Amino acid sequence: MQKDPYQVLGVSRDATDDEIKAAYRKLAKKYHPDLNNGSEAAEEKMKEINEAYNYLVKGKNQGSYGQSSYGGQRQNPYGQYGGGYGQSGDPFEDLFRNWGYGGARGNTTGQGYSRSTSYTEKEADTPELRAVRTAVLAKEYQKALHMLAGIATRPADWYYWSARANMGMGNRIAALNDINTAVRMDPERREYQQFLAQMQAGSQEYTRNRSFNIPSAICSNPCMTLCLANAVCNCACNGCRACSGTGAFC
Amino acid sequence: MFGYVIINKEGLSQEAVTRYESYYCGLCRALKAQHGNMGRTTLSYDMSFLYILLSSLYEPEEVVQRGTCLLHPSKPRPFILNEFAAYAADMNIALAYHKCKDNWQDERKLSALAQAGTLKKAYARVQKKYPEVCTEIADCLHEIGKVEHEGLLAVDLPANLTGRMLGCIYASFRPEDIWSDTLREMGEALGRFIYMMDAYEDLPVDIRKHNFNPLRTLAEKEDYELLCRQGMEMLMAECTQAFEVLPVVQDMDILRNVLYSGVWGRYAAIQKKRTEKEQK
Repeated sequence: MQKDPYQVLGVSRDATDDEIKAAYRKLAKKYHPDLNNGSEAAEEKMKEINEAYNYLVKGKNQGSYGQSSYGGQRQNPYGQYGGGYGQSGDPFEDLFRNWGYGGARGNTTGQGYSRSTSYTEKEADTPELRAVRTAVLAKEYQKALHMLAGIATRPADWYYWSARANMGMGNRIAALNDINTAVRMDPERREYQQFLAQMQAGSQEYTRNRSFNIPSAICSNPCMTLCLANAVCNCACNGCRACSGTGAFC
Repeated sequence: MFGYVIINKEGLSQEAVTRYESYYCGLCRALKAQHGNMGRTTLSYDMSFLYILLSSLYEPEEVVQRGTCLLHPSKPRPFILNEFAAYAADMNIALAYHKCKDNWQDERKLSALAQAGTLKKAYARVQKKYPEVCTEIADCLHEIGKVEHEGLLAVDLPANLTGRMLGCIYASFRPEDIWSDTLREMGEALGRFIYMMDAYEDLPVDIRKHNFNPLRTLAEKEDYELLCRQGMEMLMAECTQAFEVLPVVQDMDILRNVLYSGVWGRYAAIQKKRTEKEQK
């Protein structure tokens, strides 16, 4: 039986994550099968509660990329925030088909980047890089990395595809290094900036939450003015105050 | 490698700090109860954090008592005990035991061999209870050692191995539980972060002493500092993304303080020291 997840948990549509968690706990205490002598009805109810919770909380944290083109993650951890739930790639779409939750959960703080399938990727320049591209799109990341290692000439595109392949393999730091290099070599290419932004989408949410907890010593670091990202950064300041208004961390 | 998963006292109320310390004390007591005084030497902030995390997630019945101990002989301090203390204690033993063995194998430090010896009995008990986790810890630490020994100049592989190990520890107390996968993801991301932060902190010394450090080649780049900062933020972002899926309410202030702030404590101290040095 498909129900409104907000109703199941007994929360309003603009409930915060913490309110949803508290509501879940309250209900779990009531309906947990272990506390109800293994009653089947309690088990059914618990299932419903879990589904509603997963939909509301996991959906937000996974974003709408869905496809794990970035390494065998559960779902895409680099998902944007505020992406609609009604878009394809939403893992719970089948369950809650008729609800139309077009991203209106009140925490729409995402950057509004389009899903990966709507990128217009410029054709890779050389036959070798085209082969790498094919491997990456087929999720054959190890193969792609192997091919990349054999290519002597390394233009920006080489670094872009290396970033994609590394990310697919779970080599996050290598991927970050590669995409930064690609962006530096060719700041005009939209897909490089988009991939970098995608990789860092999670970080924006993280640093926003951190601004309320930041150890004071971090703020006074002059090294942060060495901000390569400044040149190509699309980041919208979220007012985290971490840079004390200098834009140094932007 | 351990010791990054700590609180930032600045961001917590006194009440929360006391509660944090009570968990730590509770873990110490569990170690003593299960593995004797030698067990207490393995006490770590990292497993203390896991203790708080599991306690908050499952909200077991807890007992808060007050007592004195060798390190705090005069004023009785509160300590918290619940069913998860035993698991955190066991994991402390397993980690410490294998770390010692590895240190002995790598650096031939007699003290490491000696400590491994004192933990042998305790470890045998833990291995009987949690054979798979112990194997995973042993394998991961061994692989990391190999990678470091071979001088592989890439931080992701050993970081991912550390993640695999921590993820296993996080997920294995209740492996069939619905939160097990999320806990694993959280542990994996935190493990990666810890490894990288450790490599980052050790780099200056490693360069000076001509020791291996996987960040060596990256360190030659002009944007090295920014890269590390961005990279580590990405890793923590993955960790907290998983964490925020968990329906945690109790002690949320402590957990968020650690994950969003505390883990950067040593990093912040490093930056501060550098600033002060440059200003001289």
